[in-house]
Amino acid sequence: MQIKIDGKLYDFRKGESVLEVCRRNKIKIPTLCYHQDLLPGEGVCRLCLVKTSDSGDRIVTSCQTEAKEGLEVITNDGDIEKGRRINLELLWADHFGKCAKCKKNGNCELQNLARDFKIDVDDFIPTLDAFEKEEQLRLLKESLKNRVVDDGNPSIHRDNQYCVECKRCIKVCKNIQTIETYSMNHRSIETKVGTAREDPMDCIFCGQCANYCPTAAITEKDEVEKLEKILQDNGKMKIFQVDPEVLITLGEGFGLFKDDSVENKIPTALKKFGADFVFNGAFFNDIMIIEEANNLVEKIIKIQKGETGNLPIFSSYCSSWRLYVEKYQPKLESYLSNIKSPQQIFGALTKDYFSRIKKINKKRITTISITGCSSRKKEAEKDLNVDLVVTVRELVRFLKKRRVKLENLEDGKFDHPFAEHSGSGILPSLSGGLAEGVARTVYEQMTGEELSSVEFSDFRKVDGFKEVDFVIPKKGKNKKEIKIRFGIASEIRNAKRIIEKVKDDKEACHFIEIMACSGGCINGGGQPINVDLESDEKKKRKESVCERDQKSTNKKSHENEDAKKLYEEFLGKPGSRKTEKVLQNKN
Amino acid sequence: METKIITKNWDRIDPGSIESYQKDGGYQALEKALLISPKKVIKEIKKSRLQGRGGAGFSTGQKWEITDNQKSKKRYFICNLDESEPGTFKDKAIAENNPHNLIEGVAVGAYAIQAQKAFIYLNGNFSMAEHFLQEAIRQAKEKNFLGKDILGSKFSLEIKLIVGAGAYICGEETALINSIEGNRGEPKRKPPYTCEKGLFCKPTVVNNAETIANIPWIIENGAEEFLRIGTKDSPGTKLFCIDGAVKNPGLYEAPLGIGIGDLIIEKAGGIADGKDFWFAQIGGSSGRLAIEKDMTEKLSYNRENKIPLGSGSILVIDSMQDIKKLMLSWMRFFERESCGQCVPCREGTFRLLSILERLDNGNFNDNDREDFHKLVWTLDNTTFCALGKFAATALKDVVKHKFVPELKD
Repeated sequence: MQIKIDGKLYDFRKGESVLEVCRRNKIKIPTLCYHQDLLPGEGVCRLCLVKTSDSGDRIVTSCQTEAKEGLEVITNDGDIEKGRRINLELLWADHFGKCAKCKKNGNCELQNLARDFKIDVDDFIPTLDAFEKEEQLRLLKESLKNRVVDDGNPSIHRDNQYCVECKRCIKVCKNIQTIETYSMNHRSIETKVGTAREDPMDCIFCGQCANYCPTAAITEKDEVEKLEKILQDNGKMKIFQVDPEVLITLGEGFGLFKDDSVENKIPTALKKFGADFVFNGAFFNDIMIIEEANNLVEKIIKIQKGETGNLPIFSSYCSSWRLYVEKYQPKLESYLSNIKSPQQIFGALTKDYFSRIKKINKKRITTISITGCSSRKKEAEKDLNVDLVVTVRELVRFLKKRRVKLENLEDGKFDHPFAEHSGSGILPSLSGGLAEGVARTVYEQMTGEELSSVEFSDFRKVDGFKEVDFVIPKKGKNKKEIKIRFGIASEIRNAKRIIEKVKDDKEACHFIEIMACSGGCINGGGQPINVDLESDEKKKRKESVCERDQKSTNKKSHENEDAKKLYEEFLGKPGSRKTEKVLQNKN
Repeated sequence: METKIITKNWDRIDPGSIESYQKDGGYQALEKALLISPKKVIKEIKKSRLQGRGGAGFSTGQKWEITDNQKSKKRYFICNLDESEPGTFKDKAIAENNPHNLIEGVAVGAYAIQAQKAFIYLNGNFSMAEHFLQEAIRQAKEKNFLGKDILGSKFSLEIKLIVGAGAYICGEETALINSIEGNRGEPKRKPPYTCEKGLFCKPTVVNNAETIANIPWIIENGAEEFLRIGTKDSPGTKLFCIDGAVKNPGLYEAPLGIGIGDLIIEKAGGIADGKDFWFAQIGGSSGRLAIEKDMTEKLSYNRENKIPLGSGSILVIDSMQDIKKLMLSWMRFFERESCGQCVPCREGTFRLLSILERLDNGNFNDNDREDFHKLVWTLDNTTFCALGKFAATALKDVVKHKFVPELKD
C-alpha cells in the first residue's frame, strides 16, 4: 500500500494518518497538538495542513487524514504555508514577551516553531507607537482572562497563561492514566484547559501531563531556588541520593545522548556546589528488593503451610501507584506492601543510622533526593526524613545556570556506607525490573543455591501488561516445585486489567509490580523532555538500563557488600524488628 | 392556490391539543407509514428528493438509507432544534405552532431507520417551545403514537427532549451529539460520519426540524405530489424569516426557487416606506450578501446558485445602516459562539473582533488592514468546522462589494 507525498511514493500501514507516514519518512510538517503516543490526532492546532487529491484545493489537516491507496499529498505550497504561518502568529500573539521568564525557555515546542517560521513580531497586538497604551494593555489582559495558577500541590505546577489548548494533557490523563484530571473550561477566547471548577489538582501526580505539555502550562514544581538556598547553608550537612534513572537520563538534558560517562560526574557536580555526601539510589533499591523478596518468601511459606498469606502483594515502589490505590481503589489498600519506597528508605537510614555513625545530630542533616519522578515530591510531603526532592529537569536547570559542562568534570564516586549497588538495584528504573530483582533474590533465598543465569528477559518484555510465571525448582532447601506468578504493568490503564483479574481471583498473581509511567521510571514525570518528536529516547533509555545491569559485577541485591554490612551492623535480618521500625510504613 | 406544507394549518391548530391536530388529519401519516415497510418509507422520501432544511441541503432520503445500511441494529434519530442562527426563527415557530407535526415526523423517521429511541435537541432559550413539545410528547404517548408497540405495530419508540444551553455550535451535528452524550459541545472529526458512527457510536440520523416537519405531508400525499412543488433540483417549500427594512417582517412559506426580490415584495410587502434598499443578507449572520443585481437570483438548494439559501433567513439592510456596526455585530456573535477548540477560530475571531472595534472607533491602521485579510483568509480556509468559514463569509462579501473603503484589498 503506497501513497504519494510531494511526488514520491511511500509505504503506509493500515489506519495510519498522512502525518504519521510523513513523520516516519522524515518529511517535515509542523504540529503542536499531535503526539505519536496520543493518537488519533485532534486537529486543533491547524498547523499540520496539507492538500490531498481528495480535498483538491481545500486545505486539510494531515493528522486527521487517513492514508489510503493512491492518495496524493502536497505538504507545502503557498496556501499551506500561509495558513500555517497565520495560525502560528495567532498563537504567538498570545505568548509574546513571555519567554524570558519561562521555565521552558529553550525547550518549548511553540518557541521552536516560532523560530522555524521566523515569527518575531507580535503581529496581532498593535504596537505602542500606533495606539494608546490602554488599548494594548487591554488586549494583553484579555489573553490573561481566566488565568489560573495552580500551586496547590508539591509535584506539579500549572499556569494556564502558557496553555495552547492542544489537549495532550487531557488525552494522556484520560486515555493512558484513566484519571481524567483535565478538561476544557469556558468557551471562545476564554477557553482554557483546566481541572473541574479549577480546583487545585488532586491526582496521582505521575507528571505525564507535564511531559507531554508542549509549552510551560504544566511543569514540575520548580524548587531550584530552594536547592540553592539549602546548598548555601553552611550550618547543615547536605546529603544527597541519586536515583539510578537519573544517571541514565541526566546526559540528555545536556544533549549527551549516548554518553555513559555522565553517571560518574554527578557526585562531583553535586559536591562542587556544596554536597557533603552523595549516596547511590540503587543501593536503596537493593534494600527494598531484599525486604520485598523476604516478605514474598514469608507469605509463600505461610501458604504452603496452609495459612492465609494475604496475597497478592502490591509493590509500593511507585508512589503514583500507591496514591492511585489509596484514592481510587481503597478496598485494595491492605494488599499494598508496607515496605518504604527507596527514597523513604534513604531518608530513614540517613537520619537514623548514618547520623549515628557520624555522630551528628540528625536535625543538622538536610536530605535531598534527586529523582526522575514528580510523584516522589508528593511522597516526601509527609516524610519528615526527606527534606527536598529535585527532579532531573530541575537539576539540569540548576547546573546549566552555573554553566557546568558535565563532560569536563572529573569522575567521582558515591559515598559509603551507601555506595555499592547490584544490577538488580538499577533495574527498577524499568517496568518489570523490580519484579526481576525480587525474583533473583527469592530464588536464592528459597533454594539456598546460587542462581546460574540471572537474566530473565521475560520480565522486561512488558508491553503494557504481562504475567510471568517464575518457577522455583525442587532444589536445595526447596522440597517442592513452586510457581510464583508475577503481574507486571505500566500505565494505570494496564494496571486496571490486573486489578480486575485479582478482584475475582486473589491467587491470580502473587507479586504485582505496577509503575504509573509508561515503561517505568526512565519515562517518569520529572525526566528530561525531548521536544524532537522523532527521537526514540524511550528505547535508548531502556537499552541503557539493561546494559548497566549486564555490566555490573554483582547482579543480586542480597550480595551488595554495603547492604550486607548494613544488615550486620544495624538492621539484623531482613524482616526483623529493626527493619520493621526503620524500613516499613506504619499502617 | 397558495402552496403550503408546513404552515398550512397553523391558523386552525391549537398547539396544546393533540385532538385539534388529529381533527386536521394529524397522525394519519404515521398510521399509513406503519402499514408499509420501513424500507418503503425511505424509498418514498428518497423519491421526493427532500433536502435538509438546516442549510446544507443534503438529501434526506439518502441520509436515511446510508444509516439503514449500517450493520448495527441499534440506531438513533435526532431532531435538530438548536436553531440559533441570528435572524432565524423557523424551527422555533414550528415547535410553538404545531408541535405534533414534529412528533409525527420524528416517529415516521425513526420508524424508517428502525430506531427505538429518538431525541429532540432544543435550544435552551426556547421555553415556550419546550413547554409545547413536552406536552405533545406526553399526549402522543397517551394515544400510543409513541411508546410501546405503536398503534398495534411491532414498532416502539421513545422520544426524549433534550434542552441544550443555547450554544450556536451545538447545532453542528457532531457537537450536538457530544452534548447529548454529556460531553463538551465541540465538533468531532468527520469521518466517521454520524450516519455510520453517531450518538454513542451508533448509526444516527440528525435532521433539521423543518425537514422533519415535511415528512408527514410527503407520506400522506406522496412523493409525486411533493415533486410538483418548487423546482426540479429543489422540490417543496421553504420557510423564510424576513427581517429588517421591509414592510411586513415575519415568517413566510414559499415554494423553493422563488427569486429573492419576488420573495421580499410578494411576501414581506417590499421595502419599508422611506428606506432605500442597500443589500440583503441571505441565511443569517453566516450568509452571503445580495445586492440589487442579485435580486433575480433564485433561492434553492442548487449548488451552482450564486447566493446559497442557508437557513432561509433574509435580513434586508437599508442605506441608513452603519456597515461597521453591522460587521461588529456579526463578529461579536461568532467570537462568542466559537467553541474554542481550534486555533484559527478561537484566536482569529477574537483578534478580528478587536480589529473591527478599531475600525469602528477610528483607530484602524494599515497593519490592521493586512491582518484583517489574513484572518478572514485563515478562518475561511483552515478551521476545524464550518463555523470559521461562516464567520468569514459576510466579511468577504463586504470586501468584494467595496462597502468599506478602508478594507480595500
